[in-house]
Amino acid sequence: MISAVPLEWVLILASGLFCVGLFGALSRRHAVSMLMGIELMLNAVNINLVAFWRYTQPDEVGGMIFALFVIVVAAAEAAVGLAMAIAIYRTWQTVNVDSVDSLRG
Amino acid sequence: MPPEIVIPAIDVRVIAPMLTIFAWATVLLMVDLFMPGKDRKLTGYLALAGLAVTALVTLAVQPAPGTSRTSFSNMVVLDSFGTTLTLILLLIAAFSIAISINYLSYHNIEMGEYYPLILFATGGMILLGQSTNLILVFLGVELLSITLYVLTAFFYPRYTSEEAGLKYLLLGAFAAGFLIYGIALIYGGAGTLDLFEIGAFLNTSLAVGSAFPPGALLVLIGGALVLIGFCFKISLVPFHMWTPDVYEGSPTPVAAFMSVGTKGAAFAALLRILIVALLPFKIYWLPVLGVLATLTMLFGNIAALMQPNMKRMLAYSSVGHAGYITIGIMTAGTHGTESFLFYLLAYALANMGAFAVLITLERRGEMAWSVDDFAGLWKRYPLLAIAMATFMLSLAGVPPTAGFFGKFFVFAAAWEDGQIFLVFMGVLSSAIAAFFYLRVIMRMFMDEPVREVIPIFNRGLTITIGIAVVGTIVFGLLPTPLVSLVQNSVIALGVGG
Amino acid sequence: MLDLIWLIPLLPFIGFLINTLYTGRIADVHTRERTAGYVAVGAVGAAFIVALLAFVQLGQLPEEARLHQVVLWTWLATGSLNVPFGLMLDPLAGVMMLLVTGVGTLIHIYSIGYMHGDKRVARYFAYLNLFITMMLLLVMGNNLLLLFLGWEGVGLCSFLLIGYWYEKRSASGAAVKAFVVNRIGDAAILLAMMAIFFYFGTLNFFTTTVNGIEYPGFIEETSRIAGVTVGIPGQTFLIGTIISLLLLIGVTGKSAQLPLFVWLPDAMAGPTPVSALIHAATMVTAGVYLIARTHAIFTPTTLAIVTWVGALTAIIAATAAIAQWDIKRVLAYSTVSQLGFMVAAAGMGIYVAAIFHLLTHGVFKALLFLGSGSVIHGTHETQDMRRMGGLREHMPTTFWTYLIGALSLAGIVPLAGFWSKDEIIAHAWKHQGDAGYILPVFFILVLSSAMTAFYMGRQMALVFWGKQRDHHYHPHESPSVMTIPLVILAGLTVLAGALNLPGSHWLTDWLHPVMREEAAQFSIGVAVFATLLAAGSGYLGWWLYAVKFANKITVDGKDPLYHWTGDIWDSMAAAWYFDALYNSTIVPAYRRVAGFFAAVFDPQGIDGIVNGVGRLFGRASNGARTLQNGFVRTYALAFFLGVVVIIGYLITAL
Repeated sequence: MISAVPLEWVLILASGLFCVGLFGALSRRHAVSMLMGIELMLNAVNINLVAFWRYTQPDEVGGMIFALFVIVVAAAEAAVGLAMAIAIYRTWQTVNVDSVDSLRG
Repeated sequence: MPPEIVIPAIDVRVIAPMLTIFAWATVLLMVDLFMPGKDRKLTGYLALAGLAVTALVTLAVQPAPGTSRTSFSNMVVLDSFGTTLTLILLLIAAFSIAISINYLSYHNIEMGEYYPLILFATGGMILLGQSTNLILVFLGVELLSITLYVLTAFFYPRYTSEEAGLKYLLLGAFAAGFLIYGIALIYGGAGTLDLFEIGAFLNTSLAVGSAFPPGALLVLIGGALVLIGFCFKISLVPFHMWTPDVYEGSPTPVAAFMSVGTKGAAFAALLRILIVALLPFKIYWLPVLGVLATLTMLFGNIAALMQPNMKRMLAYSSVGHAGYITIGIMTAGTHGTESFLFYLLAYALANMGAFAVLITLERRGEMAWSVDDFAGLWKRYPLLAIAMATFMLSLAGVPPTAGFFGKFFVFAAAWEDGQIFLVFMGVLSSAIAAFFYLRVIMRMFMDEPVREVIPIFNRGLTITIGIAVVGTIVFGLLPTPLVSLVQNSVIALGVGG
Repeated sequence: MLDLIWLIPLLPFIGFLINTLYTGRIADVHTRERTAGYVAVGAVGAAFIVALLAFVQLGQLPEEARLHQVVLWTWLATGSLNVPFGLMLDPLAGVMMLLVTGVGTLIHIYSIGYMHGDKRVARYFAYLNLFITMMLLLVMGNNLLLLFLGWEGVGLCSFLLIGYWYEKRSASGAAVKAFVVNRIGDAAILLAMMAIFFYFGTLNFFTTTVNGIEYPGFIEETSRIAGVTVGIPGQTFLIGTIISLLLLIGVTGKSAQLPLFVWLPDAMAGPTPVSALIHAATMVTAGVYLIARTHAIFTPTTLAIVTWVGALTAIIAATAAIAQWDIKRVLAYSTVSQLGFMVAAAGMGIYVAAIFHLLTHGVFKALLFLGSGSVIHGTHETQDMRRMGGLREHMPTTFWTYLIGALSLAGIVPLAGFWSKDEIIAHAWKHQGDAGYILPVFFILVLSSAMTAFYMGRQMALVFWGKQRDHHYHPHESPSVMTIPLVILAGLTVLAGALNLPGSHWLTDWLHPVMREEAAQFSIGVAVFATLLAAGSGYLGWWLYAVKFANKITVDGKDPLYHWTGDIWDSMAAAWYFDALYNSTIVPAYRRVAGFFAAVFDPQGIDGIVNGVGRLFGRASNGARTLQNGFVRTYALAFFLGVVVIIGYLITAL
């Protein structure tokens, strides 16, 4: 399998996914959509980590474990993020991040 | 073939401070659940006790000067640098809790989980200061970030607080994406997440030939992304834009906690990464940090000039100070590290104190902290005015305050390192900065009160302001004990004293 | 006694603490005012007595041993650097210390009368005592760091005292101006300190023993930087030149020299005793003290610049003083001008003459300011000289003492000002061959000296001669608490010349351990010439305004000389538009930059960023419209741009 798919291809896929996530985070106005974009960025990183682990360091667990950590942290972040989106909706009656703009100056 | 997992030898002493604070926070969360009534002051006092216990544990397990202990496959290190930093962070956390206890009930946001959250964040900061492995660096960053997202939005249902929380969360997660992308690239390039091994890898691979090896290239790009991730946390321009909004919206004690605690821990971790892992790349990161520091000092201080809102002014000022601390980090090879620790403590005292004074003037249900509230303060509350003046002078770097020596050490180290341009920019920007700090003093001493302001005093605030004033002046008149303390802690870092 | 010199700055500080923490809380207004005054005067007076005793003891030591250092504690110790919080007493610090406490005490006493009835008087005396403390630290600190502490401290006190009457808008504006201008100088001093620390590894002036270990002093080790240069290829500078130029910038700020003198005339918005103490006798002379103290570092290049700065300041300020109507502004420009004399003297290497002039000027200018305060007090807050006139009959004590001060400033034999100024001018004449610039400087100084006599003659005529031109007030002599200090200062003005008479040159001998200078040569020819010139132009000034134009001076009218000089007169009145220059260039630029950044982070301004950056980025990513007006997303965008720039830089840097 390793010979079938070179490492570079996986890395390109990951960076492509990262850019998609980045674009989503930068272009979406909905708070939850922005969060989703960010999650995509994190998942791209996971692909990177796992690929690096599998292709270069299969005997050690560092990369794989790290991917697990990232998943856990991303879940925690998403949980807090969604809770916050709900709280924002309750106080602001909107989750459009462009409307949430009282702090500035 | 599945990888073989070997449980490494464990030295619990290395993680004892973190263990204590996390355990205490967890138990406190439970205890708080079963606490009767609405009054949550007891939880606050228990949290303070937890910090005290952690401090004792930290002192009990501290390594002999000049030595360090590592454990968990070299993922965590306990050295004097970490110990000193931990103690500073615990002091910051204690201040934050002390100024929170009455603040929460006064503003009707008294909820027990507030204190465990602060403890968790502090634990994350300590972890950040002690980790020598990128996994743990990432964990530390996220631990303190996620708790701070919640704390920022703690002023429910105040809409600015929710807004600040959302902004901080979105941008923080965004920055975290870059941070771990960078870590992944470093991992791919160097094949390890251990800081020492990364450093060793770079030394060998760069030594081989004149061509830039692809592994090192990955580490370079990854390192840049990691640096950027930290630049967000320490709010260097242009990654600072969240800072004023988040400080303004969040509860004032949380803003105080963030402005010094997060910064201190993130700077410490960055220092370790730059010195231990990325030292061979110094020629690359030095100019980047130099430009960022210059931009930060100028932008932060200039933006603060016309700021009528005190909380935002302090936020911009904290951006400016991040620039000065960055100079300390950059020159870490010489006296930079000790100047960093000294600066951190001086800044922590003055900034904590200034925020505490702000809390005394903060009225229920109000969201604007105008400079006008300080007008004529000297006339009614001379001691409070003198305290605030001390903090402002220290932040501006006027002798004989601790802040002056902070700047003096940072600039002296930079000069010694040949960064004379940075010294010029630093002195120039602090000359600009004096203007807005002075404006506060001017309003306090040379003006009649604009409106009736009745400060709220309580024990926590009084003690915090008192310690901060005394510390600021004592470390200004007698910095030597502190200097020798930070010097000893730096020796252990192995980066020279 | 010499080991107790720490008492000298401590006593006023105790006075400050009492007046801050205790006196301000006394409910009864009269008790409060009296307590504040007595505490402040007592504190400074006690400091003066201790200083006098210490001075006498210092004089009993053999000449080479006249350097006593008292290390209170180790202020800063890191590696090889050891900066003690230490005070020192040497001949130079000794005379400065006596000037500060002596004149300070008189001005404190005078203030009791002058500030009578002021509602914040406890604050006033607290600031004044704190100022004395800081000034004493400045002159007695045994290292540059402590000097800098005092330097910043006196600046802060000066700021607080200029803005003391903040109800007057001009007062708080003047306070801010003084602070901002001084800030430029202070930044330069800080840089100089860094450089000295780097090249010498010490900040002590002289070798200091702390806990049995000797730490070197940089003044004794100037050979370490001899010939050391820095700079870009093709253009190198001696490091000594760089350091001393930085110090000079600091001096121009604190001692109100070109181009930073603009704050001093405005500083007159503060109470008059403050002008006398801080803005004439002591603080503004700190720059001259600094040059004298660190003169070993100054290189010939810098000294030439120092001389020119001083001479040009002297003439520009003298012309400005001629064209003022405000009694205090005349004196303010005169102070700037006389400081120019001192700085020029220091530049020519005659530090003793500079210090001599500093001391005599400190006495007679304090006298003049206090006299003008007495005039202002007796005419119910009138400061415009057009509204005065004929006051010599109503205020005899003030008149006679003021006359002595004016004659001294004009340089009339045998008053103090004559001896000290003559020493500077005579030196320039005798040493005109030393460097090409000395002769022009001599002429500039002589001309300034003549103008000095002229504007003092004019002022005497306008204030004390003629008829009272404004009858809205009834002039009266000031109370004795104010006139007694005037009489004492007038007496000192008569006697102070004896400090360094050509025959005895006591001051030169006294300062010999510090300056190692030969006694100045007295030139009878120059002395006669200068005196005749001063007497002539002084009489001319008096005659023009007291006799010739006596009837042409009207309230709010133009100066009679304006008729002939026109625009030149306007330029003089505006001090050659330095202020206007700054106001039209630097200040708006500064404001605009600040305003720009404030606007950028403003709600409206942020749209601008989004629009600009968004269009750029939007085209590339095909999403221009969706990117506009997004605040969180703006931040994320800025972040991302930062990433792009940094990564881009790294890739190109490879």
